[in-house]
Amino acid sequence: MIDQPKQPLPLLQITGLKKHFGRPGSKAGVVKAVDGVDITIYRGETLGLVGESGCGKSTFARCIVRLTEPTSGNVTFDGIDVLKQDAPNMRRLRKRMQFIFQDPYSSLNPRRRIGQIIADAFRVHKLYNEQERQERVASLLETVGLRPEHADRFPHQFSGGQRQRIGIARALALNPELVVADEAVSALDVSIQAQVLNLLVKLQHQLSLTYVFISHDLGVIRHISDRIGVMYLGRLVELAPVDVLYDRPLHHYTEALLQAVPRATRQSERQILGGDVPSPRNPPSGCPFHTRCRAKQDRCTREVPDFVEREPKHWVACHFPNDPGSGARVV
Amino acid sequence: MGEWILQVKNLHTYFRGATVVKAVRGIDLEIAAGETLGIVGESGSGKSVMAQAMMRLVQSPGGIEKGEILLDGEDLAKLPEARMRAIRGNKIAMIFQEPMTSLNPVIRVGDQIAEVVRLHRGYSKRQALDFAIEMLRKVRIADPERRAREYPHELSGGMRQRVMIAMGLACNPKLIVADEPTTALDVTIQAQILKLMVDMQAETGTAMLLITHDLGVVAETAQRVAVMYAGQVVEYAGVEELFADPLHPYTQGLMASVPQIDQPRPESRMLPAIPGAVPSLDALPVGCAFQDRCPHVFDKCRVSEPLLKLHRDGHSARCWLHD
Repeated sequence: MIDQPKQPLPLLQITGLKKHFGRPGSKAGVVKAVDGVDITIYRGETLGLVGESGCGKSTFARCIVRLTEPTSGNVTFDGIDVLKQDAPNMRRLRKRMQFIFQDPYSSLNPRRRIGQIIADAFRVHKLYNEQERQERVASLLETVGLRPEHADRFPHQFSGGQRQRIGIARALALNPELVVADEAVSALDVSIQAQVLNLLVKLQHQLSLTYVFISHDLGVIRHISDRIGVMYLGRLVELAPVDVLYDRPLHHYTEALLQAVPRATRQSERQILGGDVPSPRNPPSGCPFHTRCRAKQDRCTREVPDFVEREPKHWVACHFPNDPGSGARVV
Repeated sequence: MGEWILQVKNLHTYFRGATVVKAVRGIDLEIAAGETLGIVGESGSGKSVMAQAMMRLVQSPGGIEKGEILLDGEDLAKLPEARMRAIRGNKIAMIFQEPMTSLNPVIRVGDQIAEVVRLHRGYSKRQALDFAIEMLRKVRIADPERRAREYPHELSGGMRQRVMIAMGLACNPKLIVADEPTTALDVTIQAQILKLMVDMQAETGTAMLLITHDLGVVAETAQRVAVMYAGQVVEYAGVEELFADPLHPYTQGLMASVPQIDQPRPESRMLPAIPGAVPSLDALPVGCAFQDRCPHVFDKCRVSEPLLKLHRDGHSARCWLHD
């Protein structure tokens, strides 16, 4: 939220998180999808995560709620060591952390009614009697802007925007504290996307939710987030409060990413980042961005830059970052 | 009038099944040589069906109901299929959204480009392959001799789209129809491909019809823009004029609902969303198709359908408010 308390309370503390796919020494090699991420997420905030395909943002999101088992690192949720919980304890913990998926078409079982899909959460956790479950489903549907009678319909009877509302209702069914949304509005048309973003903001206020919001869309991320992390090849390369990141990016990748977005109002000729993102199977030595960076020096090819707090609350992993005083303009 | 490469007149495309889905309902537009006309709209606006109609690729039970598609004065809507096959890929080419599904996965990319000029230009196998390598070089693919021997899955998404562009430009077409050409690409790669498309167009003088849902893409590439809603053009203007002074409430709503990248978010954190959803194209309301979502709707909108009317130099809108 905009007015953060003086002492923000950490909800989720993540240190040294790694997820490597594949067996070391195998012919296919190891893909380091997430390669050492440290971040603390505070209660009531929206942390935006942005990056291009293959940067590891979705794998990271799945790891923090243990939908994917991390290779190493620590995840602490409200003082609880998430990665050490056995199955029954993990089930209990999952009530408090929920996930909204990108594709509302493939994440809803097409053969089940909406009411059943939402009430599954109650059945799994043995909550409420049948009567109470139906009432709760009706109230959840109203909360997300649908009607109670929609409970009897099947997923195909809804539009994309409505299906994403159903995905949100399902995520909220167990009164979670943390909601991780992975590209939750990316498949929607802009007029519908705006409706769903407004709903998410409203729900956050009403239910005191903490969001981790993943998107490749830099406009959406600016709108929804309080703080933003930029990922590149499995690492966090910059982390800052929203307006600081957009107005004075320190990392050359963030700057190039912001410039690349096509827009109606542009004052100056943009610099276009050349080349493709290197394969996470075979990442460059030193700074992972050095192959595309305009400020590259010898040192960047050898040493991985540390992730350091250059300015208050503004973290960056770069040997030669932009000068924060110069106010690097993006457009 | 002789300057237009393409003129579309009163084009209707319907899908006739249990109900009649009127996907395109009376479109008029024209493009000059070297010009890019942007077509903007959301899902169900009919923009992709219109593109397919220009290539005569609308699948059954859909078809061109009426109207003319004049390419260099020849009406594509009425051509026999055999003649159309000589035009596709030759005088008019198409670039699709997802190059992985529009390239043949089991044929080397060089051979796929070569095929175009063997078919339409009668080049020999050797000539055609040399030409393909030259085209790959033109679309700035490094080491084109090696890349020509690779299969689509060996290329990145950005490189595959470069191959599609090389293929599209192979016969120096009069018109390129690009349907969401950068939608599947990451933003830094999108910037590269858009620049390539603009540069190639300046070099060849090809006209381009660019279909996209992204207002930013249109702003950076098109000279004129048509905004589509429910199968019709609701606004038509020069690109700067459109962004400076949109006339149609749908265009205004669309622009307002895009989250801003260059400004802090509003204090309320609410976006001015357009309420409701697009009407079903087999059960359109009487009057204006946008009436149920329009903040300015009045009695006339519910009884009578507005026409696309010219309001000032080169700027038309389909709205009773501006009558």
